[in-house]
Amino acid sequence: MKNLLFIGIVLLSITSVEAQTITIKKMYCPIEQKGFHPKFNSNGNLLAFTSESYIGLDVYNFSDKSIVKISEDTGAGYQPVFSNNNEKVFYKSLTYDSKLRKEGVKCYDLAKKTRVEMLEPRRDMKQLQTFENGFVVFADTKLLKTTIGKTATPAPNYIWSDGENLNIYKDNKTHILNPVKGANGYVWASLSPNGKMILFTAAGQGTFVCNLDGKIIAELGYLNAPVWYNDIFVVGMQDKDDGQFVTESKILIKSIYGKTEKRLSTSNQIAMYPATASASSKVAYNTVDGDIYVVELNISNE
Amino acid sequence: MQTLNKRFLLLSAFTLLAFVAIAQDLTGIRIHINPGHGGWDSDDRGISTPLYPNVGSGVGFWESQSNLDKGLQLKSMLEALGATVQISRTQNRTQDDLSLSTIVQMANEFQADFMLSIHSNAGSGTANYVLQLYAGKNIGDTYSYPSATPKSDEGRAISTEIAKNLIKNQLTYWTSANYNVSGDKTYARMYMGWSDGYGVLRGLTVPGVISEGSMHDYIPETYRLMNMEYKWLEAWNFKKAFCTYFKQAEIPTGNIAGYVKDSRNLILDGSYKKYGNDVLLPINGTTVTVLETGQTYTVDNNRNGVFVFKDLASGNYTVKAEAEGYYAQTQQITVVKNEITYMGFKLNKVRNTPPQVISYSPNVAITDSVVTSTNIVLEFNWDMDEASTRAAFSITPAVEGTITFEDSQYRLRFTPNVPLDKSTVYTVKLDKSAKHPDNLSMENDFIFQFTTQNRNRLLLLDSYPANGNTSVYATKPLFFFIFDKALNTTNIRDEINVYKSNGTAISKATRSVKINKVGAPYGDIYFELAEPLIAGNNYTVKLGSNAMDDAGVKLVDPIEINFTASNVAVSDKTIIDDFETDGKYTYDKTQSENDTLASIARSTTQKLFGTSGYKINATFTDQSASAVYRINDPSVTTVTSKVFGLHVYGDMSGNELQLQFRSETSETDVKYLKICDLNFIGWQFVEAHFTENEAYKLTGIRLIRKDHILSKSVEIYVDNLLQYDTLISGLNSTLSDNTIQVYPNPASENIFVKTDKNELPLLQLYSLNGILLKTIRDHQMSITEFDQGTYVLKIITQAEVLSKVMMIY
Repeated sequence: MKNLLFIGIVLLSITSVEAQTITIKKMYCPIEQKGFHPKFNSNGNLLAFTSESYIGLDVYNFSDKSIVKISEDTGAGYQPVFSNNNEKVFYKSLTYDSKLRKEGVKCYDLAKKTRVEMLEPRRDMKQLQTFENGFVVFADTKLLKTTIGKTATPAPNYIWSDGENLNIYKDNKTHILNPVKGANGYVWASLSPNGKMILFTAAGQGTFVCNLDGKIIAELGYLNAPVWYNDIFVVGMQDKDDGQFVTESKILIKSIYGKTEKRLSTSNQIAMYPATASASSKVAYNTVDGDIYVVELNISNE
Repeated sequence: MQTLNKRFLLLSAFTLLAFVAIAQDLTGIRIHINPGHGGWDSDDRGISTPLYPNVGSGVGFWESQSNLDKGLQLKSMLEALGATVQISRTQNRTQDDLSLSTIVQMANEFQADFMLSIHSNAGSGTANYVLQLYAGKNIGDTYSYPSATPKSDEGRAISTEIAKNLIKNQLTYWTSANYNVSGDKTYARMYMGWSDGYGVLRGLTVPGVISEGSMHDYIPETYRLMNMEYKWLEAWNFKKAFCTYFKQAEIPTGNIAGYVKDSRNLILDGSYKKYGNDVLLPINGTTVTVLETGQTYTVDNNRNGVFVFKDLASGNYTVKAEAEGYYAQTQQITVVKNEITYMGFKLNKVRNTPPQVISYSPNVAITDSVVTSTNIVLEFNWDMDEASTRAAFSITPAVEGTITFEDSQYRLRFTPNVPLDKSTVYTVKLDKSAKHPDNLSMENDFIFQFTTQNRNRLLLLDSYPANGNTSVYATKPLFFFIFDKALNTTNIRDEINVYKSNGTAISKATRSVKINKVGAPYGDIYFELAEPLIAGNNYTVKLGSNAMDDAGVKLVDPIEINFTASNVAVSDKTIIDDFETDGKYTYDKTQSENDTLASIARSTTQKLFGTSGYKINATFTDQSASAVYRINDPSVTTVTSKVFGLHVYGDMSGNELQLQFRSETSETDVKYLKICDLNFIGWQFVEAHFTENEAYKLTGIRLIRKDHILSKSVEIYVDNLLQYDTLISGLNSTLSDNTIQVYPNPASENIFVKTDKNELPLLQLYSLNGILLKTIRDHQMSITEFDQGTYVLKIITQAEVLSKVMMIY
């Protein structure tokens, strides 16, 4: 009975999203300097970007078109996060200790323009995840929670992939999910905005959405570097290479429930590594040559 | 045997103890291994070899599989030392061929201390060297790349350690003794023409390297890379590099790696490149034993001869190689910890029966004959001792030549320096003193005979330019050489060249070269030059002695043809026909005989002046034949002795071109003025003196068939017909109709010269390089004393001088 109810809800969702139309309102290249791996803040007013090899971190402000140098650290551009109040940027800093790589976490206060070291360099630190006005990160087999100026609330579900496994930390325990049999490994895992779904890529198998128990909800096909746009749409790249370098790549937005799909990059671009900010209907991506483009969308019901 | 076992037990115990005591601990170190490519697809580098010409799924060498084999073995080694290892694939399927972005992300999320992308390289089948490409750029590279370069120090350090280990491999042949460790951005820019490095290293947050351990299209290496233990050695070298880099420590055990090959028999399965010991035949199936431990290794069947003994304690060992049909060998070797010790066995064949000739050539009945260019070949049942076999060979009558051994000394080849004599019986003998390396001699002498054919030189029958030609069209000279036999098309291009007077060769226009178009039995080459000549300058065409026909019969005596370039176009005389007007001439069937398909028409295809000339063609159906093209409205009249000059685009047909005149007073009074023999190709200016002082009208053009290889058909062009009073050229090489006839040509005993004047002509026979060979004032010349070949006969009378190319056979 519960299953029937679930299927009914899914069908209703499919019907509603199939009726949606995606149009591109605007496409522009706001940043003059070269940049890669863009990352929006929650309202889409700020855009972090870095170099191709994640050295350094800058933030572009859409309001005044200014660029702030956040850091020149190695690894600073790898998966930075903004605090929920958009006042701070948390980023990693990569160092080597006895030839082994270690990562620490630093914080840049956008208003005060100050930097603070949040976590000392350590081994095996997973991806940062925004948590209220701070962040959480899994390291040393523990979920480290850092909040600023606010009493800690219970830790959220924390999702990460490590190239091999798809992991979820919940109820104070790490659970390894293996939703796709035969996968060579899992990458690009992320939690949906509503916290109920996991988006990931199973190496050699494609990109999927599963629930928190690892049950597959949607198969999205070949879609690398996928990110959530909202709880219905995801954005990713379809890149092709010849084994030596990337020969073509396009950015797609796809519905997780149906076949709604739209290409967001132009045919003459090798477009990669998208970022999203549904609050301002923005998608950003970089070309293989380091030009960052922003696309503003209109998703409407027909 | 008991002693051996005890020693083995002791060594084993020592090995175990040593390993436990000082084995490296890589616990906590995280390594991402990316075995490059995946599957059996076109981008997975399947290499066709003589052993596996048709590579397919699981068949033959594939880089994708080789990389995986190395990667999986490395993973096991590193995990045994406590390292945490991630590998991007464990199978070799198309779906395992992950995108570059996925591989990079796997290594980043794994937070590897090092990412190793395992590959092998391609070097056009001729190169084999170690190349390590770390993420980043070279020290000192100041080029500004589109994207920032990653931190390179760690990648450079580890890849240098890897390279230092790989270059020690003595089972392979390195075409460069030095390894190449380079930043991928620098290398890709400098050698690949790419802007920003290799995709599998772009976006890495961890140190990474693409290891191109060796060249998989150097076929001996291709075969080695099909051996699992050979790939293990490469993985072991990776492991050693990691131990050195991360722990500055040594691996407590050592390894033996070696090859087993025939001591003198060569690999004969293809023409691919082989260097050093790679020319020797690997002995498949050899059993190699470490006597102290009793370990055995059976060499695989992939023509590599490789054997490996892994993880041995340091110390001295005795290694024995045994193969069926070979004498066994043992060697002493010292194993050193943290190293691979290399060794090689070159086994000698067991040859236990006397050598015999099992086949030979030329092998024909004594009543048949053999081309004079033949080699003499003896095939043996054993590989032979070169010195005794060379000494045992003789040929009668004596011939100078070279003896070579082929097929690993199973075949003797005698190559005469020059073609053999004509119609001669030769006796070839191999004395029974010939022996093989096991010192057994033949039981009997081996003797055979053969008779040669009646031809031992390639003959040049005709050429343009001919020696001494002074009017070769400088702007676009055409070259045409006709031989008595179809040419070997591979060497003739190089054997005929045109040189300036300073000795500089002039390139041929590559696409202009045409060979063997005349048709059997003749051979020919036509070509144009890549640059024009300079009018007035002297040039030489040289035909090399190695020019040969399709049976290998050579020219032997080189030929030089000297000529002078000319402007050809004469523009300062009265033009009586510019051939610009259509329909002025008509083919006249009634005046022609034994011809077909004749026509004359204005043409813009070939012209020297204005916009057009006239094209004249005909095909003759009998040896005695002619074609006449009349002027529809004759207007040119001559009442005094006049010279007529014509620009002619010749076709080398050898036929005769004439102008036709009719008397103003008598229609039946017809005169023909020979204006040239068509013994040239391309534009030339020709002229002749019309000596009549009565009124004649120019009424047409006539072609007369002559005795020439190409005379059956004619296709020429004419332009500007001139009329003037005095011959321009000092030498009048043209003759009036039928004044001199030379026959036969080719000739073997006598040349006859017939003139219509009552005088004995002076006959001079020249070689093609201009040496006067014989002079006689007579109507005939005996030529029996001359070798067959091409000569020039100069016929001098009071009125004329004629040079004619003659062939003596």
